[in-house]
Amino acid sequence: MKTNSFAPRFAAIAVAVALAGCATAPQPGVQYVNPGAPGGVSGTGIESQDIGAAAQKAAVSILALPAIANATNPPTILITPVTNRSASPVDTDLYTTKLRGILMQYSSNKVRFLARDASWNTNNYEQQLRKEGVVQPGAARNAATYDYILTAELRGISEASNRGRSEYFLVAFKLVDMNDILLWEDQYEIKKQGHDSSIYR
Amino acid sequence: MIGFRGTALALAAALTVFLTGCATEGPLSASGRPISKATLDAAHQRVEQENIPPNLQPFYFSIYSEGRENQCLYEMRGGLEALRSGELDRAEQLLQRACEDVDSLMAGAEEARRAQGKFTKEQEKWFKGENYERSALFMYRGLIYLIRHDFGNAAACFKRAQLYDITGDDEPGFAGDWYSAEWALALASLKQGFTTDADAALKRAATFGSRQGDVPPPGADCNLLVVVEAGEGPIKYRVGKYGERMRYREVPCPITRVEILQNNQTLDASAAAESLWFQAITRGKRVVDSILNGKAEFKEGTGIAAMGLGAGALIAAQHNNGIAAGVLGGLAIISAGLSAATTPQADIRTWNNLPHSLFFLCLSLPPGESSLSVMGQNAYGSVIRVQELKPVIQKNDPLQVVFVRF
Repeated sequence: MKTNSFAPRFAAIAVAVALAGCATAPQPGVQYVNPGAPGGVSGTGIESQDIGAAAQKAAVSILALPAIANATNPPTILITPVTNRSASPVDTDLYTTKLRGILMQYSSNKVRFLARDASWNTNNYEQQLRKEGVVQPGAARNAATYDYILTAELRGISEASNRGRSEYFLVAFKLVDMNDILLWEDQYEIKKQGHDSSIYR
Repeated sequence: MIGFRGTALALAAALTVFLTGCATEGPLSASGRPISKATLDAAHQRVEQENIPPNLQPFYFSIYSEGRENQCLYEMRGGLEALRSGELDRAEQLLQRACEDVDSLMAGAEEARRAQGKFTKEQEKWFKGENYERSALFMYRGLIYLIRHDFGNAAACFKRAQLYDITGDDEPGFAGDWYSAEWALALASLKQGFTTDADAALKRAATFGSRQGDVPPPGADCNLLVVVEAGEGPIKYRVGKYGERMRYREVPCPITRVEILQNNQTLDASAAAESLWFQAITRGKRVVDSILNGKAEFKEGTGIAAMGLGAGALIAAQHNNGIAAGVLGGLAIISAGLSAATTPQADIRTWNNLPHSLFFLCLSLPPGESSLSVMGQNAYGSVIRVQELKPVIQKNDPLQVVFVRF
């Protein structure tokens, strides 16, 4: 009698195992994550937290400059768009905005920033409307100029082999005055390495 | 007799289930997973709601219905179709998302780990393409940056295209041989005023064995880039007893040279800047092949064991040795099950709308409309395709990019 029960039991287990293979698709989901934390889909390229950390370091360093710290009136700085010369495509507009945001946060009232990208066209158009009498006259427009330009350049060295890849980035900040004198330069280094799962190699 | 009959029936029932697998009716994803009606309906609804252009609807429909593991595949295909049809924003969005997936080491890591197992198909991993597909992705992404006049990021993409070529090769010191990537890097560098970088890129390219012929270098004054895509890209197929090896088939490209004429005067002529076929077949040894070979050997071994154990079980049952028949039968079922459940098939999902060859021709035209004839020539110098172009060049526009599909 025992012999008869073996085979059906094995068969039942085997059938269950076979059917279990018919997996269903995972359910979609969303979760909040810290924007300063490394992304869950990390690669070896430059990421938002990298530029944030670099900008933070630059902000602290700029504010300690005698030309800034000891200025009677807060100097005005124009931040130029981040230049990318690395092998990692980045959203340069986003990084420029982030850089300005962090500098604003750290600099309080010690420096001022020009935001021509945000207001130049709108203000000029409004001034035109005022002149034409289409809108109220308002105060005369007297667009500000800057004392310094802050530039940020991303450079990199990328190495790869069939075993993985390694990327070195240098974020170089420069503060230059109207006479092209380099007042300050600081650099921030990032190095990342990793490899794909062997199933992708 | 009862023991023999019971064992035989149990064997037959279990083997039937194993061999038929998860048989379903209806559409399957590119990974072979069944797509439920509810998922299909939701995808249809979403495509309609988002006002997707008709030529892109099939790609979006697949993105929304075929699972995360196939998203990048359809983003690549859809992005390229969008680029060709002038849907630049959509092309950028789709190819950017694909770039993020390909570039990420963590994206789909869990599925990749599972796909290495014996009982999960390779095609269940998130699609990221073979190295030539990854390089092509960054080439096209870079071309979009050129169109946007974001020359820094364009250059970054062309460097990255070369990087993905390097990761696919096991030759020591191999530094990549995507000619088109260096050519385009030179153009992006010139547009930024980095002449040294441009010269260095062209110097590297000149040494590549992947060269298809004479390709005139870009000039700093180039304001029209004509990108000619010719032929069909490599086709993947499976070989081996269990389809465990992936191979490529070429659809020979009829166009080997492109010439651009204005008023019957040649403005530029070029051989292909890249052969994607060459790039696909000249990569190094794939690590995944060892994994698939291991799966195939396991499937073969367990299959042979199942047959032997099954035969033993039947003999034991005929000799009224019920216990032996049951044990052997059970082991046969387990072995058969393991064999049937082992999935050594190679993943042959393909970015199937890539061209065979890419041609880059740079022109410096005066402002206003120009009438150009783009001639595709075969290996004998006969013109076999013609496309008329009427680009309108704006004064001070640093670069315009036009696509021609032969």
